[in-house]
Amino acid sequence: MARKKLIFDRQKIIDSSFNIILNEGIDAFTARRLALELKISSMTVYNYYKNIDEIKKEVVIRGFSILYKMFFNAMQEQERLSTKDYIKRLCRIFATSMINFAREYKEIYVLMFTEHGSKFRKDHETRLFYNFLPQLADRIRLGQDERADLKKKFYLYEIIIQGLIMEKIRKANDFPRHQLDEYVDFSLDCLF
Amino acid sequence: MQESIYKEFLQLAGFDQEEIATCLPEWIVAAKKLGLTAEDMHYAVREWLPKHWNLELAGIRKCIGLYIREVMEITKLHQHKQNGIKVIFGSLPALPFIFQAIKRIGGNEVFVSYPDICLVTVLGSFFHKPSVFIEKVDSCTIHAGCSHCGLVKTRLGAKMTQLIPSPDVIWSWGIACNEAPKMDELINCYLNTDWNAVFSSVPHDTYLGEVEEENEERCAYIAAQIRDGQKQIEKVTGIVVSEEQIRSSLEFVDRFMRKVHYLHDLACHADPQPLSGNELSLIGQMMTLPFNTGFAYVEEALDLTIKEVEMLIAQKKGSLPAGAPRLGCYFIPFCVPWVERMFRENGVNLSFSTFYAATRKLMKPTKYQDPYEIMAAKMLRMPGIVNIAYELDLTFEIIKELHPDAMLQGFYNFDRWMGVHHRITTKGMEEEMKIPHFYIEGNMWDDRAYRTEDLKTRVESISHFLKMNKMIS
Repeated sequence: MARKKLIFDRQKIIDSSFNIILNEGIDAFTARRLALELKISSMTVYNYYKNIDEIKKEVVIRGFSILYKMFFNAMQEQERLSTKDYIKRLCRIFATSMINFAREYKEIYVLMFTEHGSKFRKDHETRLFYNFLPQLADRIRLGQDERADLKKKFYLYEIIIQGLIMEKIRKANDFPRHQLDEYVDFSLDCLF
Repeated sequence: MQESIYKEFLQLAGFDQEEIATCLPEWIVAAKKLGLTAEDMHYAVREWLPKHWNLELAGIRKCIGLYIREVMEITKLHQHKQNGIKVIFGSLPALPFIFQAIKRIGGNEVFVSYPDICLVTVLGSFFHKPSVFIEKVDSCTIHAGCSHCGLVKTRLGAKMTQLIPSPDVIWSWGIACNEAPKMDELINCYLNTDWNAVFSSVPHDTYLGEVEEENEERCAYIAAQIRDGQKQIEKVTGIVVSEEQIRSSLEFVDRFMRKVHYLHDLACHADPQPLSGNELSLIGQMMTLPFNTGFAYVEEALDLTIKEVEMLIAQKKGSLPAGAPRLGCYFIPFCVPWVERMFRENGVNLSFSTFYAATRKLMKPTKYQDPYEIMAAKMLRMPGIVNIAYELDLTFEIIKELHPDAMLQGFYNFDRWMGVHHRITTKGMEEEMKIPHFYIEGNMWDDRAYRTEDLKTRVESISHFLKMNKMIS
């Protein structure tokens, strides 16, 4: 190998950060906690990242990578339908992927979609990963007015799904999965 | 000495048997001066080049060979200078017209090159070892944590390590990059050398959205700057460039640009995409450089690539299946070619660099008659040189012509000007073009601060996003 690298451990930092947040929650995640996990000093962490938010951003990007992979794999299995049915199916799969992701990676979801992650909605590298459905409206062949309507519906739908998932996270067993699915289907019927 | 591996490298770089016989000893000496070992050569031949460049295309191999020829010449510069050859350097974004004209007139009595970009291209793109000279600079003047352009650092590093001598004159165009002239001053002060620099500059005081090439006063000012710079070069070298010779250089670059435009048109509209974004950018860069080794090689490589691409399109061949999403970029980091490979492995084509894609507008005649004013006007049609709103208009034109599925900005965060441009323009471009514009922090010359694993999740997220987008649209 011809290449000499200055930096070897960034990925290790992200791996550990992802695991700490996943297992202990975002509030437990500090430079000190990370340093303890990696058996290095807090200052060493800052040799690799400017601040703790930079590390959180990396965790958020990894979260989106997992979420979109789930969504993409599920979409690949779908047959082509009429535009209206396709949009409805797409929204249903989107909700299922979000719900499954939140179940499996609850604390990462909290980082990504609550106030903890609000700054990443504006960040140059991560902003596009948010509001996925409204962005899709531009890619679907529709008239200008129809597209504007669809954009609004997608936007509302995403907010409803995120709200329902947060409700499920807060109430846990008091808000069973079948009830969550009922609300998702109801919102789908109302909007589309 | 494993001579055979050096020979294999030259074969891969499109040298024919006769050339190899004469160039091999020179290449071995040059490689040593460049800090490339037999092990590096082995790595390039067996792993790096086949992984990142389509070596089945003789045109691409010739392009690689072209850059290799150039750096071989750069490593002989001390000797050239001793033999009385006048050495003239330039640096991007200087336009190549005058440099080419000087070379045409001066022939073997003059050496013309932009050494930093040639060194970075060869060491990064073909060996994954761009740090040879940059590390030297990191260790004593501008340390690694301090963001600076890899090009200027390479220039300083190449001088510090005595790879290159002081030129008779370097013509530094601070028209877009103010760091280039500052580096020339630094070289003089820090190394206490006879690094003779001529500066050309222009204030960026136009209105937002102003079509700068239409501003006659501005064109006249820049033309005067170029004319003045040229006079200073004449004084040092004794080489007088006539207006006629500049016109013939302009014609050559125009012809070359039309071919580059045609190649982009072919590659970006064919499905599957027959040429990678790395390859298109490597070729596009050729129209911005004056090659001391001659323009015959440049045109030969381009013409061959065009023929081969036409054949690939007829055979419906590409590195990814038809329908794969395409991501246009401001600068495809072809000196860090694994970025393109990583996207390809995730089913996405990096398609073209807006900086190197010639637009129809670039090729239209200007309203000026004076060749210096024509040069100025042509320069003021290039994104990256002009005010940010006009730059957006020029970029929109490229996007409309080559219609990618999305754009990728970034890999320029070391640059005070362009790095900020990328962040500012992203949203505006997205709103106008209605396609997603992603952004990745990074350095297109030097990947020591990140590695494949660091970008993996970003590339995967963008790729999933794009594939879903494509599937749905």
